[in-house]
Amino acid sequence: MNTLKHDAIEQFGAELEQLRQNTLKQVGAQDARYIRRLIAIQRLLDWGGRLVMVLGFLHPLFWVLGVLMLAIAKILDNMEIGHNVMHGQYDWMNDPHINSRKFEWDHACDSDSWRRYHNFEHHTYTNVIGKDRDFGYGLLRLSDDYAWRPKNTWQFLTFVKLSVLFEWGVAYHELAAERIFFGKPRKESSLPISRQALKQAFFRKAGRQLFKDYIFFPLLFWPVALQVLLGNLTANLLRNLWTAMIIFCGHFTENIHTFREQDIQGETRAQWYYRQILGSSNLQGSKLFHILTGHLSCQIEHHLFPDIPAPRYRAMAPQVQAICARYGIPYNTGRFGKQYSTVLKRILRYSLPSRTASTQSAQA
Amino acid sequence: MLQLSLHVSDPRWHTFLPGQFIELHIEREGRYVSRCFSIASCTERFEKHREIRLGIRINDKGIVSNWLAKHLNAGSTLYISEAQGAFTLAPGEHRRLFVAGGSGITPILSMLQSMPNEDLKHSTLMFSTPHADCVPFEPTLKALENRGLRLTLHESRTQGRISAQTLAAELDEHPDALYVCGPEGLIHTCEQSWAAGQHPAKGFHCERFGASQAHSISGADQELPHSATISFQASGTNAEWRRGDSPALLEFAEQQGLTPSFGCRIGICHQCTCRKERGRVLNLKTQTLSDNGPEDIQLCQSIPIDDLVLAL
Repeated sequence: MNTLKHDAIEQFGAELEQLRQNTLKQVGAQDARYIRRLIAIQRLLDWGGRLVMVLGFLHPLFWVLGVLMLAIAKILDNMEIGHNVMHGQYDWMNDPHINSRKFEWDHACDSDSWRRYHNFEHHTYTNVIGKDRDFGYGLLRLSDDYAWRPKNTWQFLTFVKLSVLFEWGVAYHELAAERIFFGKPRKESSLPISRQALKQAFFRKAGRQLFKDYIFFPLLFWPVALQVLLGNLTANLLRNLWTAMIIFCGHFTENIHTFREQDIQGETRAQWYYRQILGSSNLQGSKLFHILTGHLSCQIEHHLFPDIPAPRYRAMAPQVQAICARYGIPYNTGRFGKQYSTVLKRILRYSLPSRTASTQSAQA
Repeated sequence: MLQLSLHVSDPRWHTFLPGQFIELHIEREGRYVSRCFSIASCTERFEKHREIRLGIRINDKGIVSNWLAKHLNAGSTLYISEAQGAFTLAPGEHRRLFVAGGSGITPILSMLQSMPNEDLKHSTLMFSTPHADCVPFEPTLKALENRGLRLTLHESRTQGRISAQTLAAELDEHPDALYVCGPEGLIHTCEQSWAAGQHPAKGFHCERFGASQAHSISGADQELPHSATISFQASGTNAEWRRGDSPALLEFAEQQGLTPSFGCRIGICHQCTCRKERGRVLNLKTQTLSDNGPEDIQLCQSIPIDDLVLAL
């Protein structure tokens, strides 16, 4: 994978390291104020949305407004708050309520499970075939590193289904990898808890989420139970579609690189940085857009510095891009529409077997 | 010395024993920082006015003390923990010797003020302070002297630290108990002298946190220590970390037979994040020095600067 000379890569790594230090120096009261304010706004939208939705019996627009508020609340909770807090971006605050180990989100995935396979597997082995299950989620063939199978022919439909049910895909991800319900158990598993405990955690969290949105709140507003149930369902659907669209743009765009296990043996930190950049892609947009993506729009910066408070990525991005330009390292960025269309193309392209499968995989 | 009077407004805060300390929590540049401070006032004042007093030494490098000095005004709100600590007066003692070094005077002041006159008459306080003409808590000490306390001042600027010889003169009076609070060196001297003489073993009481706090705030040793004692709280084991030989704290804990959770082991995933109760660590990845108080650290990237207490 290393087309750059060893010295150049190390120097490039040192520049990124310097950028990290400079940014860390600025992290402080401003970041604490930001995340606290955002949590307050998220709570207001969450409770506000659930109440406004109920007023739908007065005028349907109230229902639409309430659903949108709840969907945005869930998006903020999952992406800008939950995902980032769980990465330890705000652990330095020493605030017991904004802590990576204890945070639990409004999402079907048990947060402990998320921390294991997302924070560890995906972020450490980004785009390493066979190590990072987030590359295609075990459902989609997104490069010639995987042999073509007949089921890949209709993988575009699988992709649509996954986007609609994204929350559940994420929740089930680790159980699928460990083959808890189907298939033979994984030979080499680093699962630190028992398979039984993993199963229990899954059902506990899934049960709580289903109870909250589809039993508790509908019953609470009994006369309009159906309206509330449908509202919550729609809010969850909107959140699923939005998160799936953004997340697919992070690692499955056109010029993304994949890696083999032997590529990462004895990898230095600078080489790790290099791999993170080749394996990630950014989205351009307004400040509000960045916030609504949980700053996953700055996927490259997030992968370089997963534990720096995400709003800092916006200022870091042009600097990272400039460093990459100096070393001739590709920096993959673009508007959302453009990037997403390349994702769709990739999913379609690899639905069919490739004629030159063996030669293409070596190129990465 | 910064003297703070706190009116405790939360009714759930019951009371304290003279000699105990509280944790004081502040938010500084977005982060919560806490420090332990001994209560310097008596229980009577608390029962009458719900007021406790603290004496805080201001140090150039003290993160919390400086913040307090700069940001507190009359009427500011602070957050404190329950009173805690076992450095309290034991029953059945008649002749007590108290030894205080610097801000180590605070818990002892609380004890003395809470004692009946009868007990004070049999008590001696050796107080080591830099300047004899500028003694902290002078009015309080005067009042205690009037009530019968025998006070000997030791000016450390001219006389140096309280030595074993100075102490011997007092120990010849055969006290039942020795209470000491101050720098680690002073505690060590007292402990050795007490053990060397014919003294009841139970009669030795000391408060160490004051010492380690003063030690770390001075920030004299920014470089790595040769060794540090790591206390694993939940498992109840201690181990000696040695520079050069010992790995970062994650692997070190594993060597001691503990099984902390972990993931990448290269500082990315935060799976090994662990509560550190006391002592500073250096994060090898960010090259930053942690605070002295309780906070979360990444075990796989941290090595100790001071003796540590980990929640593991």
